[in-house]
Amino acid sequence: MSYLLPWLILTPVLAGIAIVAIALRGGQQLASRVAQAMSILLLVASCWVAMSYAIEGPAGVSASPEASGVATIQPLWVFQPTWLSARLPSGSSLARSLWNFSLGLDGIGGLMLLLSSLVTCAAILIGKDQVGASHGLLGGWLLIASGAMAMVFLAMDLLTFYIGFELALIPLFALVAGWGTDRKESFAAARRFVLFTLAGSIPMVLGLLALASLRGGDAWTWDFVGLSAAANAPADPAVGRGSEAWAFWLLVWGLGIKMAILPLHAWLPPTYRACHPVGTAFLGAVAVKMGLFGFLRLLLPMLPQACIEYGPWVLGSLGAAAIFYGAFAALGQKDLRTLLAYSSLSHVGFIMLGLFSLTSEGLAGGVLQMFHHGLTTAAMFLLIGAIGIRRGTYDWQEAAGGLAGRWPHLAAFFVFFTMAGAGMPGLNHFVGELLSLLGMARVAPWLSAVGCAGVFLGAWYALRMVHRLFFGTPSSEKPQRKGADAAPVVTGDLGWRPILVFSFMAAVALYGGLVPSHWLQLFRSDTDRIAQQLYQRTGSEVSAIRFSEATNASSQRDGRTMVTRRPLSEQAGQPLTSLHPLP
Amino acid sequence: MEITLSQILDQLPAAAPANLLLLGGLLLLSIAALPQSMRTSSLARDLLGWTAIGFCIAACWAARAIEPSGSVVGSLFQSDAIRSGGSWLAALVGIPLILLAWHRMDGLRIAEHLSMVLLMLSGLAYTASASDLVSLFLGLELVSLPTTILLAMTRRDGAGREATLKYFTLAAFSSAVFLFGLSYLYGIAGDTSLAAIGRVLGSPLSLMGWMGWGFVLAGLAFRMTAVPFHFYAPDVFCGTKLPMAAGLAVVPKIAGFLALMRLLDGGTRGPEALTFSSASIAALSLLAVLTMTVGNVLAMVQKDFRRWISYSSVAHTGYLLLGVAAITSLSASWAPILFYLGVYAAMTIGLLAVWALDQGDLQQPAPMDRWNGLAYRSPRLALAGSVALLSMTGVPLTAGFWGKFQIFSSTIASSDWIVRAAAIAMAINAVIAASYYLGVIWRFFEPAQETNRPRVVAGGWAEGGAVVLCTVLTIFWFLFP
Repeated sequence: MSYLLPWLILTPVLAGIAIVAIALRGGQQLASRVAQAMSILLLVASCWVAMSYAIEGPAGVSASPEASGVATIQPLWVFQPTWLSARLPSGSSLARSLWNFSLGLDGIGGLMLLLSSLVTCAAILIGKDQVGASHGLLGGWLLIASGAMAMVFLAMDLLTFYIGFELALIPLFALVAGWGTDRKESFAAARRFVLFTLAGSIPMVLGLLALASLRGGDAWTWDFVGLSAAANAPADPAVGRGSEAWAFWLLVWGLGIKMAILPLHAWLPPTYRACHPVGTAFLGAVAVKMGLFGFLRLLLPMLPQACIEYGPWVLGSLGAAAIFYGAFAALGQKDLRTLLAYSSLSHVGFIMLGLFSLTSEGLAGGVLQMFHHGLTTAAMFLLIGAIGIRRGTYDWQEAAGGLAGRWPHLAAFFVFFTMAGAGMPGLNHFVGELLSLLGMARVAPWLSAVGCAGVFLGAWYALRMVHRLFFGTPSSEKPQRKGADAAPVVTGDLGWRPILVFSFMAAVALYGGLVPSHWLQLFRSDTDRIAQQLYQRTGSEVSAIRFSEATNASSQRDGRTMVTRRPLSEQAGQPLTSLHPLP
Repeated sequence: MEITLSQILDQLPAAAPANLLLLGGLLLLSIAALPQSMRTSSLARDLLGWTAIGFCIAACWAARAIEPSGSVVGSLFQSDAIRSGGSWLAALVGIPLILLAWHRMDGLRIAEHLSMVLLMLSGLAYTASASDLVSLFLGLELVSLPTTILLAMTRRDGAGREATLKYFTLAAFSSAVFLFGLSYLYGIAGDTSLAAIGRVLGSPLSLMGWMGWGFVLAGLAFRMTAVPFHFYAPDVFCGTKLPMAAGLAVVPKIAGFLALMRLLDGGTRGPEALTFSSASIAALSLLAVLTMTVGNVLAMVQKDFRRWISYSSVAHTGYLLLGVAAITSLSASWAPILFYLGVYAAMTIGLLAVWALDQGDLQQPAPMDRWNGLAYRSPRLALAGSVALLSMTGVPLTAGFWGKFQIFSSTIASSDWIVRAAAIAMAINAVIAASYYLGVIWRFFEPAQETNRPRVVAGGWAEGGAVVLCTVLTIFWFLFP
């Protein structure tokens, strides 16, 4: 299985380059077909990888949680060819530290990989109806982008992570610039997007280097396993708080721009507005997750002390502020695309709340939400694209109403995914948001309260928009077609292909909402290791908490969940029992 | 100290690559004395070009083949890592420079031109092998004198004369300043060997020492085009032909950095490695930050490609200076600087060669919007240009990434807070730089303005070869740093 890992990156990238080349030479039809076939193949492959991980995984990576110095990042399969290594200059001596290219799959990475290929596949298959002749080219770029994403999600060392992170810029630039409704606007948006990201990622190199040099003196460490193991060791007095904080903030800057954390989000709404919805589906669902994934991969396991100091208060508060700000801004949007952009900003706030609660539930909820937010966002943007080609405008107030009568299938899916996004129980968002809020409630209840208010606001703008657009009396006047002339004009309801794809996505969303334990068991050992390390650091407050792995046997005996024994967590832990009983 | 002829002969193998290049230069110069009819045919041109490239390849080989053996007391030349890396780089840079000149020089002067290029490169290699102030200065002069001749020879109109005069006066002036500073350092050290000078620079400096070091740095700053001695570069770039602009962008900079490394190296190696005073590290870091900021900010507003690339080269000097400061504070290996110099040469010459193939020479005003539409005119050239520009930005998959990465990692390893603060400044600068480098790539996709497009002088296969060589190197050095 280890040897499959590089192919998960290489296959989409090489196929994407080939498809782009074919499409540029005029073979649009062929390129389009190959792209569809490749995307399905990719989805099947990553489903297979995720399933074999679920079968083998959690058992294969068990570790004694009490021992310090145990790596918190433990991939099940590792691909680490010795021929792909370099000696990099480091430290004050002439010695050079060894860097080895390494890929590895753990639960979190596997889940993100699944998301990436699912969204790519859906975007390519549905994009066929929405972009017309240049579909093959779009598919090629999407495949290249998903390959770069796979590199980020599978990376097991700092450099591979960074290279994937930067590499993704090229296809994303093409996606944003190439298919917008207004060529000039989308080009400008693409430039802004690339410059914003570079403004984050170039200082991030410094942060990565500071991380590599943080522990172990002259011998720099590049691989995640070694770094997380070193971070899990008892606090080294030689590592000053200052140097950990300096690495932390540089990384927060770089990753924060990528994921559009609240004060650094300025690139996001105009980019989503200018990009074609099919491209935005990928950008918003997967590319933005790179930043969150970086938080989960780099900050939480490797800089635990700084995370404890700044995580809940600074980043958690930013998350709560984003929930509120995003929801309020979404209330005022006329354009469906910017409405969704702000709504996505708001939903990412929940993930931030979960991750930076630094609790076991919060982390699990955050990761789960990363997947499901991606799924829902992708579906919503693809549906918006479908509305756009039918109405010719993305304005949801103009000459709207009664569309459900004209396009019942489209309306059904739209309502379904809106409900999922608003956090209806039984659908996918509910679980992740609940877990995130529960996690934060144990640390800072008022932040959770703000988050709950955000849920209310979210339901408000979403339902208002659905009501106006799909129900009521049909408007007699026709909306003006604005800038969507390049898009093919469609009048009928969804065809069989989109119906199939949306049904699949809806099924996944339903599965995520009804049986969350299947999803949680993919990555729970990973998030628990991280959370437990953080608990160990915080000392007395922590000792009362037992962890699923520490108490695996006992909790299986009495059938309790991972969090018990603390008065506050007693209440918080209760609903968890019903959500994800231990396997 | 008395140096006899036999001593010099004993030391020649240490400077073998430099000697090879010198020999090649002299050989071509003697061919230039042959009757015109024998050296103006296209066959002669090809023969001359291949001879020059042959000497470069031989020097490359010699630089790698002769094992570093350390320096001998009282010697003029030494054979160590800087010698190997520096003279290898000098000979390697020569190949694309010769390829660029191949078809652009008129047949009458091709022999002189190539011989001067080889002499210039041999100056670089001598600078890299120097172990004494005398040989160091000789090497530097052997770089700047042929450069002046080349400037005078390649372009003979008013702008060319202005550029030549400007360069010549400033080169002479900076050499004088450099020598003046060296005399102070010599006065303190009491010895002309670079090991002794390095020890002076490494120990806390007296006022006299600061004066000497300051003047030496000013003299070198001219060659490296560091602020505040950068101002001549854009004017000289505007007043010369393209092959020479490529040479000017690369060769004096390499010379300046080789000399700087040589001067500092004696203190960081030597029997007792010294910790450089934080004041001189701070001075280098401040100079670095100033240089990169001025270079980047001014490059952002340039409308002429020649001025643009000269300011961009000023910015790269700033990054390199920061690397020198960090490495000096660590007493670490100079390999990152040599690597960055190589990468810088490949991407700068590569971009100029792309311009040469697309637009012809640099004689006329070269507004930036001439780049517009390159992706539609010639996708291959656009690809090569994008590789060079992405490498200048420092994006992975190009060697420029490792260049910046290694400098960043040296600054992180250094515990000096000034160096770390300068690293943040460099990161900010790299973002500014990204905006105008990527701006050129975006121009490739904008519709071209066909008004007053100059007639392109066909460059021929040699320029294509230069483009391919530089692009391949830029990607190869990423994969195998």
